[in-house]
Amino acid sequence: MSIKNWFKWFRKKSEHTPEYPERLDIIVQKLAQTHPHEISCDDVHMALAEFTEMQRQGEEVAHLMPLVQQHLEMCRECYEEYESLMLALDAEAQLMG
Amino acid sequence: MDRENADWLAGLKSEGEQREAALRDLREILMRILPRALSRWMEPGDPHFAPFLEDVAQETLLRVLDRLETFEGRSKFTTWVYTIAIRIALSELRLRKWKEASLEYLESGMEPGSMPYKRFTDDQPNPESSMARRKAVQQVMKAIEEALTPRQRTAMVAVIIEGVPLTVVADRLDTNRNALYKLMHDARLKLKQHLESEGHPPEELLKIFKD
Ligand SMILES: [Zn+2]
Repeated sequence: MSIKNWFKWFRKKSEHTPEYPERLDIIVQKLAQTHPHEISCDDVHMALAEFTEMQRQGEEVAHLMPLVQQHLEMCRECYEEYESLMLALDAEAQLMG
Repeated sequence: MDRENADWLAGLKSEGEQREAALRDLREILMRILPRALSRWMEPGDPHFAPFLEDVAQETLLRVLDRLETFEGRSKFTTWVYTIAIRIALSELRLRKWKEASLEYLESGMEPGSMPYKRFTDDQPNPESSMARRKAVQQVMKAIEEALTPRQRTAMVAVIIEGVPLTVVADRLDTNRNALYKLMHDARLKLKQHLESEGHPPEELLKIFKD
């Protein structure tokens, strides 16, 4: 998105939604949570099974796997996958436990 | 059907009937577990649900066989398989959900030229906005203008402000989710450093926005 298109887009949005500029706080919120070193979605995908099992066993995953925890706070999609995995493991415990 | 990790691996790495039996068992488990895992995404009554599940299970089995060597045994084998199935299913569901959405700002019209960012915040129509907030908006706008590449700007707008899933943006920008996350991370870091160097750390700006 070029500068010109970015402004055009922003202006159009602001006309429809007067409080739009304040939605930039979403960006600022994300910036405040940004770390110099973050792992990627693929890294999280590889670690998710272990992370989720450990959490269900009551381990302090935020402490043991802080990079996975931080990514889950930053990335909606990985978080959704984590939630679905939780549901899968609930179902497993009920249906096959 | 209750197999240990080693049994799963032995079965799937073997040939003939043994392998077929392991695949059958794994498919059966997926077909029982997935409806619950995906319950927030699809109604079980949806006529597309059953064929969708079949496809996801099939695709999952292929991918599992393909990646068998990468399983490190750090979780139950089936948990690892669920992560693969869930990723396949949710990626597809996200693309379907956003298929019709017009994301015209993702089309990269690379028109050069700049406009003073002040104009948009000075005449922005919200009279409730305080002076400090307007200034904060200006600072963020300015940083977005100065610190980011056009591609980073596009991704930032789509993913963070508009809430479009990474999978969908990656699809439209001809990249993949992992690369897009990294691009976004670089963009966030650059913006953050830019704002800090201008004397406006995000933590401070956040206080103003929350006031
Ligand atoms: Zn992610």
